[in-house]
Amino acid sequence: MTWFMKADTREAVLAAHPTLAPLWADFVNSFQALPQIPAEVLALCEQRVAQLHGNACARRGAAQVTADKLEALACWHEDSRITSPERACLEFTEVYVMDVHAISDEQANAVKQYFGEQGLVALIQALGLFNGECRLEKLWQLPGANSD
Amino acid sequence: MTEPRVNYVPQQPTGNVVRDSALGLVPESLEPYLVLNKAVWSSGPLSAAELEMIRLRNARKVGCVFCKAVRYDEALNAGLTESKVAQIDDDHAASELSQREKLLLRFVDHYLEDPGALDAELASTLAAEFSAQEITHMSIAVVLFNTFSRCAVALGGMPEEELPLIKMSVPE
Repeated sequence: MTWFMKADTREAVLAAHPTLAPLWADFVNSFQALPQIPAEVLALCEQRVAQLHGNACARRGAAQVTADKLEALACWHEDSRITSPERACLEFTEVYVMDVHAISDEQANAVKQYFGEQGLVALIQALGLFNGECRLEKLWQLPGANSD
Repeated sequence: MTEPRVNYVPQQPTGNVVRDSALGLVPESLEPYLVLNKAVWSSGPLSAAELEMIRLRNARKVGCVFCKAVRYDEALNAGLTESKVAQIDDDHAASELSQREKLLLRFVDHYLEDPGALDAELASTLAAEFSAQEITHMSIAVVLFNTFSRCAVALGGMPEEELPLIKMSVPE
């Protein structure tokens, strides 16, 4: 339960603003099937963002991450189940979450090598959303959000 | 200045700073973003002046030179002054801002610094000052502002020097 209303899910909180809630949903859903970068890759990055935040709330893209990939995610640097394109995006993801100013040209170029400039822009926008939702869930004190 | 990591030139420039930016490479998310952003500024219940304080606090904490330079007409028309903007710094708790404005900034700071560390006393004070709809409004606003200021940083090409003020309307 949050500290400002009787709600224990992200959607229930957002419903408190009936004008913005559906527009927020439209924006969020626009990342579900982008041609610029596979949804499975974004979903993997979303899971990693949540891990870094110690946030165990259910993620929107959870169904697109196989149990095998999820198991490999915590040690993605050295796990062969993570592909090179996924590795490039996960490395970018980690630096984005920890210090966005510390992203290097090499890390950006690695993402572009697989997904082009369009894919890099899509990833950056999606990471903002994933990072933002994790932070809000923690701030709202939703169940599971502060599991670290 | 770092080098831009994306070199996007729109085939048909629109004159809209967002549509003509690298975000134009992902039109699928650009349109819903613009609609949502416009609604954040126009639907209430928070005023445009309050939203601009949230936006500028985020811009300063993230270090987005572009975001810091912008002043939205909607906020200026709602009464936001440069005197007030100058107080949106790390000493805002000791400023002459109102209690409500200071609480807004404390909410933003918690979001940015340690969202899991909101204590019961501050939570209670926020809940007493703001309605659930207002807290939801400020929550969506800070995510949106933070997402796109971080986007500007991550895309590279950020000037190191401060820019002169840029007055403009909320992009549509």
